[in-house]
Amino acid sequence: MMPYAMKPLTCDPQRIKGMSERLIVSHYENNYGGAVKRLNAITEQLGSLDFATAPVFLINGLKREELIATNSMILHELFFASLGEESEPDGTMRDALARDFGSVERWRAEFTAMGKAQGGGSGWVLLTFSPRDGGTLVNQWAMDHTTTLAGGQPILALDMYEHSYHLDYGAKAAAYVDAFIAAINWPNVRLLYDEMQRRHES
Amino acid sequence: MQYQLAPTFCRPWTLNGISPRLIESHYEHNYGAALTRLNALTEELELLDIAKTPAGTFVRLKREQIDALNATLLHELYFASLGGDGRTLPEAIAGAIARDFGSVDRWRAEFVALANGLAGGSGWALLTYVPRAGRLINQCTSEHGQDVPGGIPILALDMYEHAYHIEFGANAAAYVAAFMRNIDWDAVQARYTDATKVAPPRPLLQKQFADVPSVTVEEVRAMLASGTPVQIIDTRPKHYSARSQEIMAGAVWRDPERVDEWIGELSKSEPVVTFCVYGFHVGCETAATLRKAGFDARYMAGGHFAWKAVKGPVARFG
Repeated sequence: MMPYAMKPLTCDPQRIKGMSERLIVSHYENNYGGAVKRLNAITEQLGSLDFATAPVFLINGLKREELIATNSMILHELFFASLGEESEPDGTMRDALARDFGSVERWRAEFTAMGKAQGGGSGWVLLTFSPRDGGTLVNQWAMDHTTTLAGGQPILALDMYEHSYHLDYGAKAAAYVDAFIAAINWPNVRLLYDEMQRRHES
Repeated sequence: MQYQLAPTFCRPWTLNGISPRLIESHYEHNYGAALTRLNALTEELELLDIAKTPAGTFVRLKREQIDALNATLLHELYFASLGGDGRTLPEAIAGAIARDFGSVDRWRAEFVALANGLAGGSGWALLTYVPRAGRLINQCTSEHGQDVPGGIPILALDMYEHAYHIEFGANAAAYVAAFMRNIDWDAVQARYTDATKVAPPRPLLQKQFADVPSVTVEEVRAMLASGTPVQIIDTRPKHYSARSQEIMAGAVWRDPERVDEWIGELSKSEPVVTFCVYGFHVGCETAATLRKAGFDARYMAGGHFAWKAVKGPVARFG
């Protein structure tokens, strides 16, 4: 199996308001890069494993680590793609958020509070497209990298691991969440939303 | 009830390579926040009308409460783990660590690798005394949960990123190395001494058989493996064994109601092991009867199912 390759950084680390270049680059190299490296090492180990004779704890442990590293890779890619220069949700996104959350403000209040509630721990807040019930958007909480919505496709990801903000904000998780909300790359959210809609309708 | 804040256990300005700023932020924002959350949750739970609260809500609050309680206790232990030079292990703790890990170096290599493996996430590396085993173990936790039941942590290394990111960035290994240079081993040894006073969980007491000696399934397995001569008698009650399809390999079944009829088959020059279904009454009673008759008899603790639980071999029966 081909090793997983690192994707280039999808945001410009010099242009994210409220997050330093040092923070984003450390996050990209150490945490995202670390996840890809770990995933490749685990994949190699799994490739040479004789599943028929391997002890169950080894299989469980490796498969668990594989899932954590894979999701960490995927969610970090989405996180960097979620950041950009200041923008607002366009008409389509406003309608979708209003349909599923009541209003854009209500969605924002929920998403922001969920991020702040995770301060001091680790996890993600995701805006996820759920194909069930005609395709709805859901705000979801994810502890570590593994608890994602079954069948769902995240289209916006807020990393609440402390490595995402401690270099710039120390323990002030709330200030980091506010900076993230202001830096959301809405055109990218829209792009992923359209893609999900198309896939869902076809 | 409200939990009281504990003052910082270590003197932040004396630490080597871990700045007061890091400790202050950690103490105020993470430890302090955990205690505040714990008290808020505890108050909410105390005021809750359990009868009118949906079960899911109650369980969710209890889960949050244990998370906050563990975060509080582990942070207190973390600060109490710092303040020494990390090098000088007093005799008692050095001996205990060497006994349980082979050597202090081996322990240190394990503990550091465990902590480094938690880099980039959140969790704890703990040195814990387990009364059940009467020994020290290294354990990791994810989040604040997953502590060993009954275990007493005596050294705690916080691997939450808030414990190091402000100063060390993603270089968790440098932080772990700094922590190791600041361990207060005198304090660790004092906690170890306290911990060893905790008795292991009490076994079930059967007063009437207190003077009948027992043997563990592991000991019986070792006897069989080494070819030690032993006469193993399965004395499960007839009504039970009649329904059973299996018998411990190497054992013969004899009716515990008719000991007189088969006692003559046994040799007094080889030890006898008896057992019943769970190792409570019948096996003990039979062993006691045989001892009175002059046999070197013991009962196998846990009986047939303990043998099965250690995956001891069984044969077809009946």
